Amino acid sequence: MNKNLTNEEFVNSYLDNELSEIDRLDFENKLLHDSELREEYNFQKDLVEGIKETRRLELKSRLSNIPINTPLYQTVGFKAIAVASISAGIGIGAYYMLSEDDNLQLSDINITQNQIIQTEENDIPLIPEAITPIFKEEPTEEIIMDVIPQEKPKPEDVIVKNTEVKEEAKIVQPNVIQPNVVEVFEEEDISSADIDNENQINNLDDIKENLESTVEIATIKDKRNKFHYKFFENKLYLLGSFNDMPYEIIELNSSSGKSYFLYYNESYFKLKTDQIKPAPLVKIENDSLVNELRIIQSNQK
Amino acid sequence: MKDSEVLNKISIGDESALDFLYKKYYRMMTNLVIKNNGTEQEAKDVYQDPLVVFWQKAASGNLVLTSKISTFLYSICLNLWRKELERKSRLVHDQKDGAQYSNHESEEKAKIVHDCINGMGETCRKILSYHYFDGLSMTDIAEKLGYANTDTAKTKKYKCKQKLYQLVKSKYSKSDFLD
Repeated sequence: MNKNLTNEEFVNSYLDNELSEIDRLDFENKLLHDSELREEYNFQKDLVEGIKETRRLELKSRLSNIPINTPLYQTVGFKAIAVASISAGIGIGAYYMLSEDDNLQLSDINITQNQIIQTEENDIPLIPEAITPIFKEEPTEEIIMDVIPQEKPKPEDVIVKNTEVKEEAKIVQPNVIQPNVVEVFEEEDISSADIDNENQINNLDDIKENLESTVEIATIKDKRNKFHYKFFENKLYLLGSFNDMPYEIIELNSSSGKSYFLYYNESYFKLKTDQIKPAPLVKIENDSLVNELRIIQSNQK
Repeated sequence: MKDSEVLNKISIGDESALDFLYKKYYRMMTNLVIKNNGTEQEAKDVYQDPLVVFWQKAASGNLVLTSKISTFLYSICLNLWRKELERKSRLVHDQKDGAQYSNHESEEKAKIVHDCINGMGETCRKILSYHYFDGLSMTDIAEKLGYANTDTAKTKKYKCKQKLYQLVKSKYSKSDFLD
């Protein structure tokens, strides 16, 4: 240690980690016996702790001032308005249908109801599922069919309404089933088929892991599918309460193609890329595969 | 923004990465508390504290991350909230005792120092915070504060520390800081 250093400088150098190993030990030894040095040390330690605490409070204050936007459709007010709108819509519909001089406006009213009900059912609107024609369960038709028969309209009205609904459905449905898309899925089929058998993945020599998954991921709150997934247009949809707990997607590149796994709540789940309809997530029970995935996961961090 | 990008930004003291993380995981972390008998304010505290510690560790390069950031934060929030619930349940049975007294003096000292720091100029506050809390290198500090070189930052830091030192000493007698 430089003998010319004052206690103040000595402590300052120590707290700033500027001392050599020998000087540091020397300092710590003196600290035990030299009361003046200890007094100086405690004083400067208070300064440093004060600086740290001030910065901590500053950062917390910064965080507190960040506006957190709750999406409109998740607000209680919006849901109340939506429910009120549905009730009003049904009431108006019933009024027109049950009145003597009901006419062409019926179909319009039904379509409006349907749109509101859809928004209410799915917390996140505008998801591909709602516009995918390949799914048999079309919420659009189900809701309309549920509502209309209860109102017991005249037979002529039913014909008019059904026609209107079908026309509307055609407008909404995009041409999603394109030959190109199907080909991509078929390719994925072939690649994923090899590793469908969990044991085959144990040979990791030719597998490159990638935790920074290249697939686009979306989480959707879905009341019907509480722990499901699907792939659609190279995008992975996780259906359920996935915003409440962290999850990880593990992407493996092998000679036979890419395959994906979900890590959630300390369990692993296989994700098949050809799964275009919502399917329940099934936990992988094969211990050796789970261990391999765990190793891959930890290696990638 | 990927985790690696976030960590890179934090390592150079880019606070926008902190804002990003806060917004991204706000619902996830606060729901953890709110759904387990916590209030919104408690949820904020339980989320903000580990996030600030995460920032400090990541900025100073003292963080070895073995999981995703979200997993890391979630596990800390979970533990913190469990501890807080345990503390609350203990408080129901135990009355506060004299232990509060022993902390009184150190709290007062901390307030004195806090007031002195806030009485300094912004540049000094920043340079001292970046050095002692964020653990940024003098090169990073020089870059962040627009100094010509590292030596300028070092000199500035030394002067600021001296200023704080004198400020605190002049306001309070030495006995305030004796054990």
